[in-house]
Amino acid sequence: MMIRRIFVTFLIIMLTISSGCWDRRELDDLGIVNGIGIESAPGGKIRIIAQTLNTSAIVRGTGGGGAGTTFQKAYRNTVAEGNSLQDAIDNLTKVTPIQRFFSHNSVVIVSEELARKQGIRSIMDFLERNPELRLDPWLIIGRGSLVSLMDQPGRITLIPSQRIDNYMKIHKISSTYAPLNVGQFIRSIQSPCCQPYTAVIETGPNESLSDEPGHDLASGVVPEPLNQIIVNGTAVFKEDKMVGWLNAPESRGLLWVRGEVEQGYINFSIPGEQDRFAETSILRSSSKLEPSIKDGQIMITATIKVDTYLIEVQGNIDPGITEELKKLEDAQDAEISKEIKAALKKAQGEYHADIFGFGAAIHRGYPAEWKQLEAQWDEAFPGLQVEIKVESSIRHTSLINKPAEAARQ
Amino acid sequence: MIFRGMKRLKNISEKDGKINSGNISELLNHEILTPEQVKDIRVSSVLEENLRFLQDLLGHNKDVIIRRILIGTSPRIPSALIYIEGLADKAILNNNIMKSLMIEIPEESCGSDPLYLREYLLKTALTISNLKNTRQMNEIAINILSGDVVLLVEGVDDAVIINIRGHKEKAISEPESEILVRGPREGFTETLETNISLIRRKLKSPNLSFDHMLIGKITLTEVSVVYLKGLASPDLVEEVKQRLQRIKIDGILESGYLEEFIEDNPYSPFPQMHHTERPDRIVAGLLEGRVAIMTDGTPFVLIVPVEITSFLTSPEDYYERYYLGTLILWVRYISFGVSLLLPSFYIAITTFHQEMIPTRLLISIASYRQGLPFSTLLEALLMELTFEVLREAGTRLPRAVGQAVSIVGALVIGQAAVQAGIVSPLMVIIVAFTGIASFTNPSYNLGITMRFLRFPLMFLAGMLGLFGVMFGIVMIHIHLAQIRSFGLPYLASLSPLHWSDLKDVLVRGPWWSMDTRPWELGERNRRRQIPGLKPSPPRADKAGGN
Repeated sequence: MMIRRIFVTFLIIMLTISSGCWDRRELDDLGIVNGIGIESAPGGKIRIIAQTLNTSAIVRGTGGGGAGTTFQKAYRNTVAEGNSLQDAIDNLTKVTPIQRFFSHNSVVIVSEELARKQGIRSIMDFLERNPELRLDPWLIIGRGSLVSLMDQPGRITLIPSQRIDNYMKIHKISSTYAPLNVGQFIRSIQSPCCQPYTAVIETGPNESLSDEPGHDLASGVVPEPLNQIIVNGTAVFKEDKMVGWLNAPESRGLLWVRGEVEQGYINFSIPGEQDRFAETSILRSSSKLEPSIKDGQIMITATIKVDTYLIEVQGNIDPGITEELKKLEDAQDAEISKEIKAALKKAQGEYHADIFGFGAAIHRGYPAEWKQLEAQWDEAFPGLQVEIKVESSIRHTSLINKPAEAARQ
Repeated sequence: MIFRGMKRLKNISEKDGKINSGNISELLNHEILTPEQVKDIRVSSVLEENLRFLQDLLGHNKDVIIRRILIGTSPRIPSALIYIEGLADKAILNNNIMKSLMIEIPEESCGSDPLYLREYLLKTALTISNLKNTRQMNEIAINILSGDVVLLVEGVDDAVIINIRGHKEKAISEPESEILVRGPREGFTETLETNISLIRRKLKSPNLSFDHMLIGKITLTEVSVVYLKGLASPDLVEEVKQRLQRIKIDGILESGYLEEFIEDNPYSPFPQMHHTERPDRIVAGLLEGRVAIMTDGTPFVLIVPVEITSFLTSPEDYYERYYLGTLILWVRYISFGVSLLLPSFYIAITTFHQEMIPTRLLISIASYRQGLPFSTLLEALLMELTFEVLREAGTRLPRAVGQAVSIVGALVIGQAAVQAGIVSPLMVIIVAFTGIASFTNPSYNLGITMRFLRFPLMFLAGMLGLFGVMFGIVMIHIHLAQIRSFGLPYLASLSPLHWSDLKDVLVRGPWWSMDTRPWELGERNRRRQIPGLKPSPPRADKAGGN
């Protein structure tokens, strides 16, 4: 009995020792990848840019930069090419000998060229299949050179990919671009009734760069960086290929219809006054897509309800008076519906891509009819009649009622 | 030789009361003699015979005092007082015994009738409260060795045992191992009688019972089983006594000796009984139907049976407001988990499951691990070991030096090791926090178990990651679910689950809500108090009615 007990204990210990440790990795051996850029390379190859973090530089600070200390970059970009994405990643180890760790990746940037020409289905498979990759990093389109896009560190956020991640995280503040993460993107590619879209970023000149002498390294001041990252509207996809692009107001038009506007500001001209504008801040919005069949013709009624409050009035108007406020609300309605119509026009007229989810609404409302429509939805979508109803109301006028001008009269 | 000695001893006892062998001293050279062996020897009416026997038995030691006196004035009767120097109260001996016997005894009482003399001595002569008589030599020997004074009188075949034990003892002071902010400040001492009086003072019940027994063949340590009749299950009391009587050991120096002889699962790392220095804690246990075991010579009293949750309670929980009691109870539960699992979780997550760490935390952990020579497991083992060494050094050293150790420890381990790039600061934080969390454990013995179990868990974490940690946790749970303390399941109240007990396990319910005793223990007397004692302001209609 005693011998058997010792034997069993021995077996358990051997079991843990012999089967353990195989996937053990020490943290300092890992290259934490925080962002990936994917673009096409000559010869049908794929080029990957992996942004690996230099952890000690981040924690101990890269600033300072006094005499004698070398300026350590908080990240490192490594580039490799390959026939497929994994092949390219394998080739990365030839550049730097560390084990790359992708679980903390926060952005996947795909070049516009790759997305337009080759489509991104081939890379989607990799992003979905690999257990180390998550579905929550943003999938975004990068315009121009990805190498320069991924090399724009901020002063506070030292890592470019985290900076881009922050841009995407705060998209609800303005609601003028619509990023999707990998998981959401995959879901909308797979859905037969709507098309994917995502945000676009590019680099642009930094306008706050000062020309004056004394703002450069020679005088001991780290100057403003030359370039900055600009988030520039929304890319529209058809299946896995990018087909076009919506600018900021059009992007919000898309989000109004999808009911995804949560914050942001609406700027519109005050009726009856020249070059005078009012601005409201969005409190909440909702949208309702109601399909209906009239004379065998399917149409959609989109009802968008928006609640806002006034934050700026340039004109000589007293919003404290109900009639005056009503005027502002009507102008606001018109502005919202203008944004929606612009988005609709582009999606229906130019790109033929149902990014709004109208197909899904019809599927829900008329499942039987949708079965026939599904196969030819691409052809039917451009001709779909969409009626837009905007019901917006200004809930309050913030701290004051009358502007100073109006009060003096 | 030993056998010969035994035979000789037999010869002594066979003569039935007649002592004529002075060979006991020779016997003592060869064998450990217990009073049991001289059980049958009776007191002789010849004083010198008795004295010779006792002198042989107790040895010609300096501290054994045989004071020969003559009682009365005429006739003067030879007699002797036997006691051990330092164990008997000399002032009482001089004033109340010797003075009474030698000077104050009236003439007529010292007649020739020994029977009358015996009665007179027992009932009139000695102004001592605690007196008894015996004819058994073994009892006399034990009582002398325990500090009583024995009076032997020529012609009387009976001995008077005078209890004036007055050895030097520590004053009642605050228990150092269990310090409370609010609560009684008295603790048990090393003297059983004092400890019994401390319990009596808190529990004035005729149901309170002390069952004495002597354990330890040589030390003859007095052990007392304490319980409340009618509350504690008689089976439990019987079981405790039986287990105690089974012990045949040379000596008992501390209640820890007993603990290992009477516990249910001798291989378990978990303590299966409480030890405490606090009378209030013992009384609380007795009121729940538990049994206490008091040992002479140590302030630590055992209490059985116990369940694991009671190790994590402190008497103060019950003295402070119940909100605070509950909060602190949960702080302890969490620290209990932390002190057991934090290092192994850290090892598992940083070496196997890096994807679980939030990115920013990962960056800072990774940055501090840059360039360290050891793997996380080794680093953790090293630091834990250092911590244990420091803790042990701090505990054993005199208090003044102990402070120096903690300063050196904190400086060397906390700072220098990090600066030298041997360990990461995060590991220092983990180890320090684990250590501090383990100090919240009010029971020292469960704390030792946690310290011990941490190491296998760390190995499992280092080899199998979280899977290994879970494996370890499951194994510990299986073990906890199967062990018992005097028949009480170790996880009692939680498993088997008794809803009514959770008022004292998951929360510290207010006293007016704790109407019932613990389910498993309070079988014989469920109710602690009448229900509905919640205080409320007098209502207006009621007041008006009165």
